[in-house]
Amino acid sequence: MPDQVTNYKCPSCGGPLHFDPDSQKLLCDFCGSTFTTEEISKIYADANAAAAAAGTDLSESNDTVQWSEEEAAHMRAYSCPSCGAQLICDENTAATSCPYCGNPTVVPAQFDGALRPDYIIPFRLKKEEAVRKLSEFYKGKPLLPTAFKNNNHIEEIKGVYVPFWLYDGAAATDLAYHATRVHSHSSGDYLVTVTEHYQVERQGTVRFRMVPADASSKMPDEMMDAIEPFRYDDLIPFDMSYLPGYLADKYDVSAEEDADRADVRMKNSAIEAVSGTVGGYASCVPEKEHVHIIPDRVHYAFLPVWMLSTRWNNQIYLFAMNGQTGKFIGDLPVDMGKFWLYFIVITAVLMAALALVLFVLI
Amino acid sequence: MIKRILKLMAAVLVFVLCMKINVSAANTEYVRDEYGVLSASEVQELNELAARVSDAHNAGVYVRVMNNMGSYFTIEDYSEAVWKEEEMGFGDTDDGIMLLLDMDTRSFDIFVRHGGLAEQAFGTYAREQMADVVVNDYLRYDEYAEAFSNFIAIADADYAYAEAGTPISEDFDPARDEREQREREAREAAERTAKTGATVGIPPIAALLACLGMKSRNKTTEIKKEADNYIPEGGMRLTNRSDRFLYRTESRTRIQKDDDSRSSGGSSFSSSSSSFGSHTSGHF
Repeated sequence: MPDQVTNYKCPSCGGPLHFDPDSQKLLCDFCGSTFTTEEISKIYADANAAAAAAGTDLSESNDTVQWSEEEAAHMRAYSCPSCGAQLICDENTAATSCPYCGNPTVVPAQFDGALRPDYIIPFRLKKEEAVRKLSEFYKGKPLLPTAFKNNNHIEEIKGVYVPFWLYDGAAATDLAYHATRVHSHSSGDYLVTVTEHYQVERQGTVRFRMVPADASSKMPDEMMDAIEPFRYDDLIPFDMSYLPGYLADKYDVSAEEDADRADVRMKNSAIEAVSGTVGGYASCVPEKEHVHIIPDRVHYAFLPVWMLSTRWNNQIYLFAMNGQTGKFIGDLPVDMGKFWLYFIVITAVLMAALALVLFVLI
Repeated sequence: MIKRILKLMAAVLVFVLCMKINVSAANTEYVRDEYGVLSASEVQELNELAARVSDAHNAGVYVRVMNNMGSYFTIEDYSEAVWKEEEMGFGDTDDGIMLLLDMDTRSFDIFVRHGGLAEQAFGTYAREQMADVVVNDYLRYDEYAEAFSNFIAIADADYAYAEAGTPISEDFDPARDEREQREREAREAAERTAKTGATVGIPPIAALLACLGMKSRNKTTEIKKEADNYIPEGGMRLTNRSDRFLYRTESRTRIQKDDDSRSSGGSSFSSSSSSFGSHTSGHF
């Protein structure tokens, strides 16, 4: 299957362009010229149509590298328009950079037809911010191994436009509870407790707009969930010219496959929202909590994420930063030696303080 | 022959005189239960105990459990009537003390006859201390045998203090002092145990919670379970909202009053005096 790739080059000097989060424009690495995404899109609209440099299925190439049939079926080879080197990419790669000349490269065919995202949130934060946030992330974590903090170095840092499905929908909710109200009064020598029992019912719908679920099997779901929320006021119609300088994959998890994740979240929130209207009771035991999800539109969007990886003790630690809001997440190792040391020290200090207060001061 | 007859008469006279001295003790029961709160064996044991104490101090110790007061309006009048009718007491002064219960009104009276050792031994303070133990610790819980045996034991001790010239009073009450000392020691021991428990038990739990909190800071990734952020303003619409009353249940619990506790304050007693004797009475 022939594909083509596009390098976004500076119309002034021919140098590589990349998207600059500060100016929200495309910036030339060599001459410093800046261009709006609209300007570059217009220039490249014609060029893309005419580009003849075709990629080929790796399985059809005469490359000397021996790939298995299965591997080859999932790989694609492209020729870099800048230096002519062969780029070998995953079949889902939509934006990358040439490992030889470093030029940002976009694969327009990955955005053809139904594959074209509806929206994109451009990067707002730069790589330097992600590096700074990582060192900040280590602070205030007393159980982090000292060696991890001192010896670990960022192995890789990359800005990735992660494909997301954004689900619109409504949850038709039908809830029933057995609730009680309790009041007491005294009667002679007795305390009389009166319990009033109620059947509480709530029916209604809760609408949801753009519940996100990442559509890339390469991205850990718990990381993509944890960097939420994205602010949708930055959501704009997709334009390829935001991609240069970043990596991007097209989705490899379909909207149908991902829908369950969004449905579970909608159900839980619908129950919480509707049951929140039940109040004034001493107890409330659910008898029925039926939620039917009514799906609506599904949007395809590219959302900005900085992915960082570090290596320590032969183990890779992965971190992610929301490229729009700067929310930083990741799982860090725990020094169990420190854990027990803190346990002993805190216990001893509290014991001494309590003993002083209880046996000496009082 | 006449001489022999005179000797015999003299012996009979001595015997009769001896009988006269102990007439009260011999003819009057020390413990009598007309209502039936004691078993026969308990009555016998208490009688023997009261007899020993009475003989030892030459002053009576009596217990009466009566069905009702009959035509008497006050338990004090009733006590004095019973005392007189049964010719209770030792010696010329009818010396002695009696605990009388009227089961109909659940009232009691501790009566002390004037003029003898009992009057010295059981002043108002001593009678009320005695009532505090007998009534609040036992009678209120229908523990009759224990109440009566304690009454006899306290009477024994108080008689002994009076005989020694130091009757029980607010200024001299070894039993109270001992009881207060015991209570103080028990309170201090409980306080020490609680403090030690808190010192040893709370810090490790608090430290573990703090350490688990620190550990949780190292894990920030999680699968989201909710989508609250994605409900637009006005996104919830209720189509049915009903709160229907079904039924009502009621439970009654007896209110635990402060004086329900064995160890706390207890009933109030009233003390009075007549020309015949002194009383401390009340309800149990």
